[in-house]
Amino acid sequence: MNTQPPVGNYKYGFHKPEHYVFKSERGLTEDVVRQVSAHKGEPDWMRDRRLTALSVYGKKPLPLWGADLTAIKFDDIYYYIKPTKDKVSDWKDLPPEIRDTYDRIGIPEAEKKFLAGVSAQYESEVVYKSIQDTLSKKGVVFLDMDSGLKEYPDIVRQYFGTIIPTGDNKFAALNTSVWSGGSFVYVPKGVHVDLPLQAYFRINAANMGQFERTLIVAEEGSFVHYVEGCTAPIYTTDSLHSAVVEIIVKKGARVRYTTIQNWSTNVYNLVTKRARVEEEGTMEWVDGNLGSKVTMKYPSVYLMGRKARGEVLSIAYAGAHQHQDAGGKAIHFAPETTSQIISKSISSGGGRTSYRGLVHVYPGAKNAKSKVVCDALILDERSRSDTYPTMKIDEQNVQIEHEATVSKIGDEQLFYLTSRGVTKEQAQSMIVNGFIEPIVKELPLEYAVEMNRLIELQMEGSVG
Amino acid sequence: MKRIHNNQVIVERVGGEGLQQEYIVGKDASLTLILMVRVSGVVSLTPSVTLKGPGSSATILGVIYGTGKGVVNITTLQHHEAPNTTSNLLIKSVMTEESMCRYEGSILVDKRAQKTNAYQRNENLLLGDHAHATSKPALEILANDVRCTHGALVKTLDADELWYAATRGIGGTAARYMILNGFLLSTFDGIADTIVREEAYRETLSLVA
Repeated sequence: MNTQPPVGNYKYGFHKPEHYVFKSERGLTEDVVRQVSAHKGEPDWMRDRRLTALSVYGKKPLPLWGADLTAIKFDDIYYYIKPTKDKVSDWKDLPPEIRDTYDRIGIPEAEKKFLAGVSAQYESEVVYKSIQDTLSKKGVVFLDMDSGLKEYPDIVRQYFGTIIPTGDNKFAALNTSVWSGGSFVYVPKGVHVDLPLQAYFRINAANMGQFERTLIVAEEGSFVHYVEGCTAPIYTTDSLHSAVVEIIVKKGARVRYTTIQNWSTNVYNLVTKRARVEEEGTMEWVDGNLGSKVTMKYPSVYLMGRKARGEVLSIAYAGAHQHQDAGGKAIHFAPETTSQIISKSISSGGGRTSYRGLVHVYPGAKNAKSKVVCDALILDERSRSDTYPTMKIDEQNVQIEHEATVSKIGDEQLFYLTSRGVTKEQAQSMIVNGFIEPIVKELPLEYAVEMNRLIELQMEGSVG
Repeated sequence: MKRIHNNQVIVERVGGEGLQQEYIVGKDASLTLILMVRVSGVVSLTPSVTLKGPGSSATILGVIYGTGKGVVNITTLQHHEAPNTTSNLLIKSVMTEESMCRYEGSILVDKRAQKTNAYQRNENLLLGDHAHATSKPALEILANDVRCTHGALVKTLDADELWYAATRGIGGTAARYMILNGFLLSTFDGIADTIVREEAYRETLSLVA
C-alpha cells in the first residue's frame, strides 16, 4: 500500500491511492471552469455565475491583513477532481480505499450510533449518503450541493450567493467559480430535526483544492443542527481549502452549525461563513480549529429582524508552524438583537493564534446587546497570541461589552496539581481541557471526546 | 518625548490642538498620566507609553467629553520593552449630540518583557441620538509569562438607574448629570494620592460643566 509515513504526530496523516474518473488540469482557467460545469451538467445560469466569479476572482487582491498567504501556489492546484463514477447509497458499495479512509476517521461508528444521516465527501463529490426515512418524511432535504442544484434548482437559484455575494472577497469569488460538493439542507416550516446532520470532508489527491459550497435554508420556526468534521491526509506540497457556507434562518427558526477542523498542517484553510437571521431567529456557530497551516475564518451573523440572536463559540489551537487567525462577526441591523462571541485560543510550540472579530451596530438597532469574550493561553516562550477586536457602534441605546485576556498557565495552578502527585504534563493537559470546557460541552458527545483527545495529542511534548 | 525617571504625575489638558506625545518610563520609575479632553471640533490624540526600564509602571487615565459635531481620534500604545513592568489604562468618554469617539489601543509585549502585567479598558457612554463610538483594542503578545487583559464597553444611560433616581425625587436633567458625573469621576477612583485624585475630580467637573 502506498501509505505515506506520517509527518510529525499528525494522527490522521495517511494517503490512499487515488481513483478518479476526471481530473482537471492544474491551475485555474476559463476552460477549467467550463469543464467543471459541463461535467456536472449544470444549468446555464450556474455556468455563467461561475464565469463571472472567475473574472471577479482575477481582479480581487489577496487580503492585506491577517495571515501570510503569499506562499500559496495558485497555478499548481487541481481545481476539480471527480473520484468515482456514480454516487452510491449503501456503505458496502463504496470503493475499498474510500471505505477504509472513512473507517479510520470513524464514520461507521457514527452511523452505528443512529445519527440522523451521513453525507461523506471524498475529494470533490459526495459519494455516500444515507438519509433516514424519517427525515424525508418530514420533508427535510439533505443532499450534496450538486444534487441539490439538480433536484431543487428553484430553491438553490433563489438563495445561492445571496448571503455571500461573488465579490465579497477573493476566496468567495474563487469558490463560486469552481465550487464542487458541500451540502444542501432545506428544513420546512415548523420542522425540528432532532438528531444532528453530519458531513465529513476530506482532501485526498495531493495538490487538490477543495471548494465545497454549503447552503442551509431553515424555514419559519424550524430547527436543525449541522455537523461538519474535517480531517485531511498529509502531503508534501501545500494545499488549499476554501469553502463558502451560506445559512438562512427565517422567522423564529434556529440553526446550529458545528465544525471540527483538523486539516493536516500544510493546508491553507480560507473559509467564508455567514448566516442571515430574521425576526426572533437564532444562529449558533460552534467552531473548533485545530489543524491546518493557516486558517482564516470568521463565522458571521447578520441580525436582520427584531430580536434575532447570534452566537459564535470558537476554539483555536496553534502548534508548531501553525497560524490560526479566527474569530467571529456580529452585525446588528434590527432592534433588540443580541449576540455573543466566545473565543478560546491556545498557542504552543511556536504557534500563533489571533482573534479577529467585529461587532457592528447600525443606526436603528435600538437596545442591541452584544458580549465578546476572548481568552488566550500561551504555553511556551516561542508562541504568540494576538487579539484584534473591532466595535463600531452607530446607535445610542445599546449595551456592548468586550473582554479579552492573554496569559500563561498559572504557576500556582501547576504547583497545586503537581503537589497532588499529578505530573506536570498531565497537569497542563488538565488545565487546558478545563480552559476550553465551556465550548467543548456544547459539542455532540463523540466530537467532545475527539476534541479532548486531539488537544492532548497536540500538547504531547509541548511542556515548556 | 518625555522621559520619566522617578514617580511622576503628568496632566495633559487637550482642546483643539490635540496631543502627540511619547512617554518613556525608566527603571523602577512610575508614571501617572491624566488626560482631560473636551472637543467640539476634530482632534487627534496619540499618547504612547514605553516601559523601557525593568520594574517600571504606568497608569493612563483619561476622560473625554464630546459635544456638537466633535470627533476624537485617540490611539494609545502601551509598549512593554522590559521585564517586570506594569501598565494600566482606563479611558472613558461621554459623547453627546452628534459627537464621535474613535478609540484604537494597542498593548505590545516584546519577547524579553516577561512578567508583564498589562490592562486596558475603554468605556463609552453615548448620550446623543447621533453620537457614535468605535473601539478597536489590540493585543500583540510575544512573551509567554504575562497577564494582559483588555475590555471595552459602549452603552447609554441605564433606564433602571434613571428610574431609581426618579423614585428619589431626582428627575430628568439632574439625574442625567449625576449619572454622567459618576461615570466619568470613577475613572480616577484608583489614584492613591488623595490630592491628585481630588484635583482630577475637580477638573472633570469643570470639563463637563
